[in-house]
Amino acid sequence: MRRIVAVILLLALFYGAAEADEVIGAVTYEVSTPMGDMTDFIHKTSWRGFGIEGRWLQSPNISLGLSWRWNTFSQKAAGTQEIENGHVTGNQFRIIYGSPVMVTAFWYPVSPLDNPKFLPYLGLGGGPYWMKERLEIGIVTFEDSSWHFGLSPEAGVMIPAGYNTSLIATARYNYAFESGDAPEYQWWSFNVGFSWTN
Amino acid sequence: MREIRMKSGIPLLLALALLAGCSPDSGFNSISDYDVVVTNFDPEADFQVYTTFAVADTLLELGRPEGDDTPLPEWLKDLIRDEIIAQMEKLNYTFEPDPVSNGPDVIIVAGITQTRWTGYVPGYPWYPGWGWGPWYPWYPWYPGGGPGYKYQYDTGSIIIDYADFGTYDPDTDEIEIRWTAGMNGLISSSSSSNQERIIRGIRQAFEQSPYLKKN
Repeated sequence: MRRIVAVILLLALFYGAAEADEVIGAVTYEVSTPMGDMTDFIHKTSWRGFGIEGRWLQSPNISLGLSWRWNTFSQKAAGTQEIENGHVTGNQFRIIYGSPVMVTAFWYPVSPLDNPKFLPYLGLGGGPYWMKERLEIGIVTFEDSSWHFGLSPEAGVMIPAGYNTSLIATARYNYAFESGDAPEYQWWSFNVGFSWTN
Repeated sequence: MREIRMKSGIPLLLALALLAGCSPDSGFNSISDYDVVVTNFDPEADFQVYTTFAVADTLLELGRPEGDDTPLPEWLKDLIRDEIIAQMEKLNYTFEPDPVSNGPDVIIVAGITQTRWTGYVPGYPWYPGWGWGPWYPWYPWYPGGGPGYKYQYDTGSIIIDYADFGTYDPDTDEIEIRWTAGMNGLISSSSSSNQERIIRGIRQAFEQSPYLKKN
């Protein structure tokens, strides 16, 4: 349900903003690699991720915007693991879902209004991360979901491809802070896709 | 032009969402992929003080599917009991064949449970076609919906309790458990497969409990 609501909101902003000036929309495919303590549960790279975002120029070199992303990490494990006063042996399937909704701010050393052939940018996102861990062992499943506050510094480039469309490539570091009993999560995302300007 | 470009992003977005949002598959295809063995011990226990053991003749029935009155086969009780005896002797314990006359240090009791899981996946109706208008072709109507279906599968568990016979209280009929093993998995239609997996599970339970071994 939260996925549907987020998509509807962002699409509404995307279309609404299309009628305004100086707006950039983007859709990206994301490849993500876990970092830090997250690798204790899953260390494999995720090839299942995507993101959508909208950016509104506030000045020639600064934009504010919104983004929503989805990443699915999964990994099989086997063997014997120690538990409190015992051990458990069985095949495991581990999954982590990560979905941040972020307010973003980007700086462009060359203004998008100048229609450059190469448009680099740096920025930062901040907002809530919804995280869900799922452990399947044998026929038993354990699940736990949590909300975190997180930050995501990002660097990228847009390369115009004609008709106000650009190829976009970015690198982003996601950091979701600890929340209650839930641990921190952090991962690198390397993303490619398309962006549109009006 | 702007309207078309914006709308051309929607199929790409939906394709990416479908790709990324679909739950990954574990790839576990064999029934034995779902077998689990769990062991738990009393952290206060000193397993070195125990030498002799006996195994209960009876296999406890802890649960079975409703309406299933089929008696447990003798071979199952013998299979479990024999394997437990073999594993305990491997750990340097001495089997006591006459526990009534000679009280053992440890009494081991095994139990079995079967659960039947059933469910129903509803069918889906037909969906009409959809399209964008003059720039894009109309999408065709989807074919008729699919029927629902019922599923059923059985799971089984074997529980082994290792109890300190010296703590047995005949007034309360209670005894202290020092170690417990539990094995759980799907029940196969192949009897030989089930037998092999039961033996493998019991062996794994003792293998992952090296603290039981007498020095």
